[in-house]
Parts: sequence; C-alpha cells; structure tokens
Amino acid sequence: MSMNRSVKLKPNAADLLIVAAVLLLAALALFRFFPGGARDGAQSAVVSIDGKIVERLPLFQRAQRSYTANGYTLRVSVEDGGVRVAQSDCPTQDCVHTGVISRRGQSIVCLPARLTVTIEGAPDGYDLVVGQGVAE
Amino acid sequence: MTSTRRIALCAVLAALALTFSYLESFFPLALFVPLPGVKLGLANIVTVFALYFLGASSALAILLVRCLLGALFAGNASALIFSLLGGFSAMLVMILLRRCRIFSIFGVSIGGAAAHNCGQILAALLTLGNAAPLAYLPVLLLVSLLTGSLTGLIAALLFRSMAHFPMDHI
Amino acid sequence: MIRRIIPLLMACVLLTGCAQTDTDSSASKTVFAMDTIMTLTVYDGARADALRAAETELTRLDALLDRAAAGSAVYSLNANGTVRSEELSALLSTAAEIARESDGAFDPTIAPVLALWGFGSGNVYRVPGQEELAAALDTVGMERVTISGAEITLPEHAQIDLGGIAKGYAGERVRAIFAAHGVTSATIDLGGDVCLLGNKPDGSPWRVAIRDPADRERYLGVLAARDCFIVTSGVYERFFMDNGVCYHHIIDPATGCPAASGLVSVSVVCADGAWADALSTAVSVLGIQDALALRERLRQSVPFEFIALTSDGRVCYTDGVAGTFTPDGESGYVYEPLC
Repeated sequence: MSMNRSVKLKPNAADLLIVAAVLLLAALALFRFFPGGARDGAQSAVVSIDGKIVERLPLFQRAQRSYTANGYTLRVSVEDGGVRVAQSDCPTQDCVHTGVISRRGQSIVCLPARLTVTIEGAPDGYDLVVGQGVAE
Repeated sequence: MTSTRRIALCAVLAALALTFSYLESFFPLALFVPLPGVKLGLANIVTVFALYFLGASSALAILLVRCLLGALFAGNASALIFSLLGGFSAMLVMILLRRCRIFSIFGVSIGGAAAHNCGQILAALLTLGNAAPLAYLPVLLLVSLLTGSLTGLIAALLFRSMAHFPMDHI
Repeated sequence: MIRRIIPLLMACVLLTGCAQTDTDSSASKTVFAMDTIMTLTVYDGARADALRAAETELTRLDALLDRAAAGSAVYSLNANGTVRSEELSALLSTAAEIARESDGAFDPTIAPVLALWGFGSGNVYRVPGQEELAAALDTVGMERVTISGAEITLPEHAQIDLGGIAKGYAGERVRAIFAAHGVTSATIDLGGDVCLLGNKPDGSPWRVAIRDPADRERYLGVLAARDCFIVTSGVYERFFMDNGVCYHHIIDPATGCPAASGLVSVSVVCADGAWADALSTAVSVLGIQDALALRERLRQSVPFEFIALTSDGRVCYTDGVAGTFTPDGESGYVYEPLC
C-alpha cells in the first residue's frame, strides 16, 4: 500500500476553478438571502419556534416580547429599527451575543431553544385584497 | 501494509481528528457565525490525509468514528448531525473532485471545506426547521476558502516530507 | 476528459441543489350577484365545469336570498310573514345561533331599523326620531323568529335582511361546488371579502392584503392564509353626515343607532363562510373587549381570528394571526397584538 504517485501537491490552475465556484456560490447565497441588503421601513422581525412562525414584529415600532421555547425563556426587544435578544437563560448565549440585527436576511438563532428571529422585507405583493375602502 | 497496521493507523488518525475537533472548539467562530455546532473543519486535515494515503473506505471509517466519539465526548447528540452532515458532505465532494485528477490537493481540500460548511448549514436548517441559517452561508463559504487552503497546505507539507520515507515499511 | 468532468459536475450539483416550481394555469370568471362583483379563480380540477356550476349556483342563491327581488324566499317571508324553504330555514337557524352567541350583536331582523336610517335599498338617509326608532326596535329579535322544519314564521312587523350573512353563505356553497369538481386550489373574491380554497398552486399560502379604509392605495398589512374566509366589515362602507355628525350603517341592535364600538374596520378570519360574514358585523358592533370574549366562547365550536382598525389609529390582531399577519410599515398605524 503506497501513496498514489500522481498526487498533485502544488496548487495549479484547475484549483482556481474550485475557488471560483466557491466564490460564485457565496455570491449567489449573498444575493439570494440578502435581496435588498438595505434597511427599509416595512421590515418585520419574524420569530419562529421549532420552525413555526409565532409572531411578526414590525421593526418600525418599539416592542418587548417574551418567548418560552423548549424550556428556555428569551426576551426579544425591538427598538430603533432593529431587533435583538435582550436576555436568554439558554446555556450558549449565542443569541444574546449576536446583538442587534436590522437588515433584511439577517437572523438570530438560539439553537437550545430552537428559536430564530429573521428580518423579512415588505411582503412582495399579494394575491387578493379584502376591504372595499371608502364607497364611491 | 498489513490489516493490523492499517487498523492501528486508522485509530491513531481518528484520535488525531478528535483532537483537532476539540481544539477548534476554542476558536471563537460563534462571534461571526452564531450557530452553535458549526465548526471550522480543521479535522478535515485528517480526512484529506486519510483519503490520499489510505483510500476512501478507511477515510470514511475514520470520519464515522470521529463523529460518533466526538458527539459522545461532548455529550451532545445534536452536535452529531452537524459533524455527520458536514463531514460526509466534505468527504463526498473530495472523493469526486479527486477522481477528476486535474485538481491539486489544495483544490480538493477547498472543495471539501466548502462542502463541509454547506453540510453544517444543512444540519442547522434541519435542526431549526426554517431557513434562517442560510443567512450565514456566504460568510461560511468565504471562511472555507481559508480553512480549505490551510488543510491543503498542511496535507501537502505532510506528504512532501513523507516522500523521504519508504512507505511500504510502515 | 468527459469521465473527469462528470464527477466535477456532480460535485457542483451537490453544492448548489435548488428547485423551481411552475405555477399552474388558472381559469376565472366574473359573476354579478348579491349586489356585487364576484371573481372566481380556479387553479386545478375540472375548471370550466366548476366555474359554470358556481355561476348557476350564485344566480340561484341571488334569486333565493335577495329581499328586493319579488318572488325570492326572503321577499315572500317579509311580505307574508311566513315561508316554506328548507335552505332558508337552515341558513336562518345558523343566523339565529350567531345572534344568540353574539348576544344579538348580529341580528338579521334589524332590517326595519336600517330602513329607518335610510340604509335599506332606495331610501333617503336621515336621522330617525326617538319614537319611530323605539317602535322599529320593538320588531327586532331573532329569537322571536319561529323556525320549525322548513317553515319560517316572523312576528308581526318583523323584517329579515340576510345582507350580513348571505355572501358568506354563497361563498360556502361555491366552495362546496369547487370541491365536488376536484378543485383543490381556488379563490373566491366576493367583492371585498374572500374565500380561499387550499393553497396557491405552488403550495404556499395565499397572500391577502387588507385595504386601509382611509386610503385605497394603502394596506393595513398582508395576511398569509389558506382554507378560510376573510370577511371585512367597515363603518366606512356606507355612511352619511348630518349636522357634522357621521352616521354609519353598522347599527347596534341594542340601541338602534350606529355602533359606537370604536372600530373602523374589522376583518374576520374563519373556516366557515356564513359565520365569518356574520361575525365581522358582530365584532364591529361589540368592540375589541367583547369580541375577545365572544372569540373565547366560540373557541371550541367556531374558532375565528380578527384584525381590527380602531378609530384612534391602532391595528389590533388576535394571537392566531400573529404569525401570519405582516403589518405594513407605511400605514402609519400602531400595531397591537391581542393576547
């Protein structure tokens, strides 16, 4: 049993193909999951527990919420157009350390509580409208 | 190499891989990517080495042992899915890239590192049940360029120095 | 070379892996019925047959429930004080149940009072006097309507108007017809109210924008929903001004006057069409607190959610839609989830 003699130990031009592919994928992911990237007035923080959306908090309005999920309690705070986990009794504290997020596509994840906070932009359109508005 | 020697070597490499996964837990990756369970993938050095030196089946065995024992030592079953998905994605992509024969060990390990991080994001997606972790994919892919180059470099240096030893007598 | 490229391609596929779904073609029909324009859109099943059957049914229901059409069951009931109709009797039983559950906040016998204010058909708007209002209120009371089998009997002078429940019932009927034609994805726009059948063809829920009554170009927000009715009632739909006072068409059966619940617009989300329609009126009359109590009473039998705009600029919504209602940041309102 011996090493394959044909092993290439020096980086070559073909490797650049792989680097390019990874960069392309990163760019695609960036483009796909940060569509606008910028802050805009109609964003909301979508709070999910166990993959199910429990609440959409508009970012334009201050709010304090407490969520209890899988044995942990997290306090989520919306202020100044951003959202953060202000307090959590989870062991990792990663959610608290993430700090404030305010741009579309950003998210806070608390794995122990299986809770996520993701920022979504304004709903991109609708299929139907209810309410007739002022009668003509 | 006799099968006994092969098994012993696999065990040593598995232990080394475990050490790497333990050491990389000290790297504060959580500052950039707050997804517990996501790792840099330094243990892939062992996977790259084993893949080239012992072949795919032994490398897979080492990977499996590393993932299972790692989860056991960490006492954390949810970390298992991260390391399994990350490790096996990396392994699969590296086997395929290596078959192409045109890429150097650097290209192969960069591809493996990228796949490793994609696999971990997939694990986070499955664990959480929503798309939130996808937001960390771009940064993790960029990180994989660095870790992939690093593992490639270490493996290349290793093979270069080993070229002076008569392999058949291990 | 090809043998080397294929594994590379496979690796790339592994790295990307994405899927695209196509939307199915749809068929739609616009029907004029119940004094409004209804738009039916069907995405699968026997589309043409389903739409044709639905139109026939809507025409039939119009002829049954329109109190202004001579010959309709409701017209006969109001004119003669009694009528035999199994379908009308079933619908009136539902109406009586909703009237009971809502403590009379919804009551189809309010018709004589509506007519007094000019909110009936063809009347002139005016503020009625105390005495005539009291006399008209005496005829109101769904509990005094006798329903025995198919036989319906009204007390003397009582009048029925099913305007607050007929559209929802019609939506319910159309939904049943669609289902019988193998339709699993469809929308029924009942002229400002909607019935959603299943999901969108791509599997995602329908996105329903709730119009801001103060500005036709703006929305209170967007609700993601499936398999339900969303019915909106608003004081802005019909009103008149007299001596600087605004009088609107949502009359509180308890007082005989326009409801003073502080709600401008109420959208009710409910699986049942007739209930959704009637509850949107009931919630408008009751106001937030009493509506929450009603929702609690009905939690087991007819669960419903609502989104309400108050006259002081708050958009209040129940916890059942907190995860599916996306407030619109440009509306200028304050959003307040109800717990």
